[in-house]
Amino acid sequence: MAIRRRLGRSAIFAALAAISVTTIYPLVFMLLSALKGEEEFILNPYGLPAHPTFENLANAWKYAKFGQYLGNSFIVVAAGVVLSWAVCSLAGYALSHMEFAGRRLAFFAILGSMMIAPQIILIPLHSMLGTLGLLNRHLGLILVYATLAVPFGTYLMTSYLRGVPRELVEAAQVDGANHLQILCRIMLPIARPALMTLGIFNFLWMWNELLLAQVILNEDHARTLMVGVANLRGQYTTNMPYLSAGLFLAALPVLLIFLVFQTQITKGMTMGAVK
Amino acid sequence: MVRGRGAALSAWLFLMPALVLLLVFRVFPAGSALWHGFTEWSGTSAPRWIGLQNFVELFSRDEVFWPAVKHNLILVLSVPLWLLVSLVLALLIHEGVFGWRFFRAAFFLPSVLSPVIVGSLFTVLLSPDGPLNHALKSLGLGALAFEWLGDPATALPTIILVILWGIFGHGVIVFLAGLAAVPKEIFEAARLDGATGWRFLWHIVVPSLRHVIEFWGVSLVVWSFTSLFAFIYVMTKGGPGYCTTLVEYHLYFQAFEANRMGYACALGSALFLMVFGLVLLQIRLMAGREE
Repeated sequence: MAIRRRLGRSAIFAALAAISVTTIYPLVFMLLSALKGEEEFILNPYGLPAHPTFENLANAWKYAKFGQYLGNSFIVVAAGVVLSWAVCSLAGYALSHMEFAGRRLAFFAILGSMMIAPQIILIPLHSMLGTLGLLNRHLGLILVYATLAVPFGTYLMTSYLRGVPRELVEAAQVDGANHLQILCRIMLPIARPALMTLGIFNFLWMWNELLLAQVILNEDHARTLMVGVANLRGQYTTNMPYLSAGLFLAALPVLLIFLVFQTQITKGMTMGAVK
Repeated sequence: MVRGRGAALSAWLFLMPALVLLLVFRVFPAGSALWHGFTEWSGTSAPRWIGLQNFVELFSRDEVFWPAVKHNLILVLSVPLWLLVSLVLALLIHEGVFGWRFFRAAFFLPSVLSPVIVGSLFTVLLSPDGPLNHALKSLGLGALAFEWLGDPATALPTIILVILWGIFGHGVIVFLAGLAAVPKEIFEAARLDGATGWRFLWHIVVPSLRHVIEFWGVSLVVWSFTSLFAFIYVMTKGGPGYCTTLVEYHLYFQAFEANRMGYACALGSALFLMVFGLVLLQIRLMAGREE
């Protein structure tokens, strides 16, 4: 019995280890390929690089305009995250600490907008942003991202702020503070974990998003990193080290965030499923 | 709670930015899409009203639409597999197998990567002379080496597996969060009663996690209809032929490759009909824990 159990445990461990290899090896392969010259890659596609070179990374940065795309991505994502913080904090405060007719309706209307998937509004958005002069401008994509972030962000902030005791609000009101002051000085400091979760969650999906970025920022100078990578592939599939270098650069910010903020990401990604 | 008329006014002021954004960039375009579905419109010329013609073509003459729907349905049918994989792995980690912290991080890793990166990576790994085929050949299984994404028979199943690779870790952490909320005694009592293996999973774990499983299952189905564009665009562009075209990809293609904006809007309405009931269910499950 004991032997059987131990065998069973080893088998389970082996299975989990094997799955881990499938999730980690592709990334290792990508990094190793990125560090090899084109010739070395042909001779030695799987081993460690004998003569590591940073040429591919430098070339991807320079010639494939990764530096520029990276900058575009940072502008769009940073502005999108900040805007979403502001909009969702305001809405979350109103929905959690203010009593007014239509509160439930507003809450469900905001969540209900999730029924409208991005694909469905893609074409009118494209023509509307064109009319507003926001096509191929970062602001256009920033506004669209912030809008898409509203339902989940409002949901998250509302349920977090609901946990803040109302006595705090009442005491502040007695001291003569208005709602904006209460939100900024009392609520937001308390809600820092929720803001962190929301910010990282938004960073991840905005950074990774392709469809809207591709349609709204189609001109080369405005492109985000994912649009750059998605269209890089066709051109460079034959040069694997070069392609790998591009992929590695594009994945790097997200991998760093993953290593540092795993707990917060986990929280953001399980919101809604469990309380 | 703060009451009174002044309070109502400030409440709506606080909600204003959210509501304005939603109205301008989500609700209005949705209405516009609905209307343009009844027009012929190239995007540059003025739209011309043609009644139901787009829909008639979509349902009766479009050679790609029904296959695309079929591919979407195949994805939906694979969702129970995705749930099961994530659930079993979450359970093993929850039980504290040796190295569980490492496994949790390793499984979660792919789900933070962009579908663009995942898709590109696997296009390389699965290419005819890529590492997978190379490994198969060196193991003496050369007969299994294959053009995974280029063959009509294997393209869609391969993409489904790649998507599973990209998403299963997300499911693992969702189920881990659910398992953390289940009182320890329930599992311990079941163990004492001798429940093991599949019986333990089916009769004890699944009922305790019912709500989480429902929510995650519905989320995955919605996601399979609306969030796979990048995988398809990067890996196969819907090919070979139309073997991996999904409804959302067909929409993108009609709009931005074929310049048939009106027709694509009609496709958008069809897509809306496929998902809106599911999203309502998803919202109910989310809000059920709130109200």
